[in-house]
Amino acid sequence: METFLNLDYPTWWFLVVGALFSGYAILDGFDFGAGTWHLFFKEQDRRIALNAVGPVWDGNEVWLVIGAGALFAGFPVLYASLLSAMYTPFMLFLAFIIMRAVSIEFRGKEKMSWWRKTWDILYSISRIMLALLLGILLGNVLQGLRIDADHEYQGGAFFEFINFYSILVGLTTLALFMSHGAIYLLMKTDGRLYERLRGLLKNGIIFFVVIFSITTIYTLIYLPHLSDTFQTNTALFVVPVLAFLSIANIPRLASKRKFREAFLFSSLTLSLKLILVAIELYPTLLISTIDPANSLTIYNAASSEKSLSIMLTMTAIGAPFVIFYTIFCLLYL
Amino acid sequence: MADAGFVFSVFLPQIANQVGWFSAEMGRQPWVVYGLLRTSDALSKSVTANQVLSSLIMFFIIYSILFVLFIY
Repeated sequence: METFLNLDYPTWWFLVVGALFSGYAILDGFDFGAGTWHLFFKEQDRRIALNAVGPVWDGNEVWLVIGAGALFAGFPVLYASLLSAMYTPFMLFLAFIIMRAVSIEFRGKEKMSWWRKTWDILYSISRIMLALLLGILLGNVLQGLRIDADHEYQGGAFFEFINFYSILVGLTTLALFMSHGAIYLLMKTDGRLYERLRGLLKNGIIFFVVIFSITTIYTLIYLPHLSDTFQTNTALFVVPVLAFLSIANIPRLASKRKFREAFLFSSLTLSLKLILVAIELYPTLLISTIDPANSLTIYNAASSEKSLSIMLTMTAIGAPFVIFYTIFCLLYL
Repeated sequence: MADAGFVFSVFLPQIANQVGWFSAEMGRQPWVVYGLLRTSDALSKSVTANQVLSSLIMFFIIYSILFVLFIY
């Protein structure tokens, strides 16, 4: 198998998809998070909160399209199995994506207070649901699915994607996005909304620490397959340690009102979490709970070496531009 | 007010789009990728008919509501 810098092509593509999902979590994470607090704001402040995400939310959403596209192009077998297995949550996700988009556009079209209130509620609920559903999908992937030898999902009950662990991961994701979104709004606002958000951020961080501790303990006890990589390679412990330090740094920077730095650290926390997930899974992509031999890995789910090499070249050319303009927009606009 | 009639011409490109789509999709049957993959082989086994029907109904309702709002 061809390699580049000692890593084979499927591994490189695994890193590309992982980087895209991290980018998506960081970017859409803050606007989902900002939306979850929306109903806690006073009527006049809601317009300000909307204006803070107004110019960027649709750009953020594009990362989902690139991420799913990269998954389809690089690991078509995984894409097919996962999207069929998780059909119901993905369709709900799409429905809420439509609602989040229209609620922000329709709100200002009429003056009646019931009209604005309706769209505000829809705006907030759709973002809470999107954050939850993303976490629920991740929870199902971490837990593994009943995948048979043909890589077909052997389930089919409508709400099978809802289970204790997936809800737990869903709430963790929601809590992380809530803090992340509050920090984003703090970076972009001032006055009364700013003061209100400082109080809300504290609650958000407490909620996150509590729910994240529960999820971690549950994972260590009931899902041992997710921690064996760390037992065989203890050097990797540096990642959870860094994640912990990064989380601890957020309240410190928040109390000093350095929200731009806090935002960088909450973005770092999100990527470290996803790096943890990547380490736990690699080289598996989707664990089969029927028989480990049926699991999808980066090798049996990848497209041909030629496709991967063409796509890697294109990514190497295109990615620097995307990263540059995203950072530019976030920090200077 | 003669121009008001043109407002309804907005439906014409919509119809042209839909009809074009129908002929492309139906004309290709029984293939989903012409000459390579049959629709019956491309079907996902784990997604049930009920799931597909529910998602269709869900999107139909959402887009109907949006249609009313756009017109309003």
